[in-house]
Amino acid sequence: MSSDVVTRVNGASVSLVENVGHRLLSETRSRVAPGVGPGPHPHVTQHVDTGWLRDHIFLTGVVHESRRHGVVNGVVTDVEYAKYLEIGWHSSKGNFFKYPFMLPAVSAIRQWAIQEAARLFRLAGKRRAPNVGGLLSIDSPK
Amino acid sequence: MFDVLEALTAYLKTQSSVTDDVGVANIAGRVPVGYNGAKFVLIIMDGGMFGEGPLQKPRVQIRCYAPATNSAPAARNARLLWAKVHDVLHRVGPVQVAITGGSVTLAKSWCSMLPQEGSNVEPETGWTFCMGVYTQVWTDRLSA
Repeated sequence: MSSDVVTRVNGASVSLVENVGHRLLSETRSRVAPGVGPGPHPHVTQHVDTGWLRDHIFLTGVVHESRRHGVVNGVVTDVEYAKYLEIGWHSSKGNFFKYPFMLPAVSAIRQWAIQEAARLFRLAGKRRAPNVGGLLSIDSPK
Repeated sequence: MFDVLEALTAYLKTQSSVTDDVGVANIAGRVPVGYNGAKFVLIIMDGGMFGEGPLQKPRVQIRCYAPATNSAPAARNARLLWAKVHDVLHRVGPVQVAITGGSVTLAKSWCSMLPQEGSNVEPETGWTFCMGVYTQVWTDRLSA
């Protein structure tokens, strides 16, 4: 491959990860926006929907890892109760609730991401786009 | 239709290493009324996150609860209980159940969440747990 094509393909990779990252961020945040999220929350005080979780979901940033693995991006949050929304929790009465919002956001944008990959790599002069599934990652540090 | 939760529950109830620890009644899909954080194995669908479609890729969460004892904190007890469950599901090799036209591998480990002291404590109840998420592999007779 000529250096020009390599540059264009690398540019497409970065664009793809940025586009997918921002779409994923937006999708994830929209699922926990005030009025959209779950009724019950894992809370010990009176529930007030402030949008705190939505405002504390961030992109990890674009990272160039290696030529083989390309670039990665992810969505993180440092809100402690986000983990329990995702995996479920028991209320004080013993009822089990859950509101997974991160992995469903990945599922929701998967098809779009595949099309976006195809579009960007076509523009860059490459016939085949990379495996988009490998470009999506989600993490909760807590 | 094959019920993954029912099959997993039934299988775990036959495993003496697990039942000797928690009792047969404490392996279920729902905690009993008045439950207070005693040893319990909860088996539930890991809801709403079926990327490839629920029929092809069901995902099951197995959550092991345990209280603190005089000799060990709750996190350690929960982890030991989960290790017993994980062993009989996964480490001994695939647990397969025959179904019409093929078989189902009941538990393929997808991820686990092991507690450190102070983590994996449910916020409203204070129950400490250790959990693993497992997928199932459906195989037809031709590809088996």
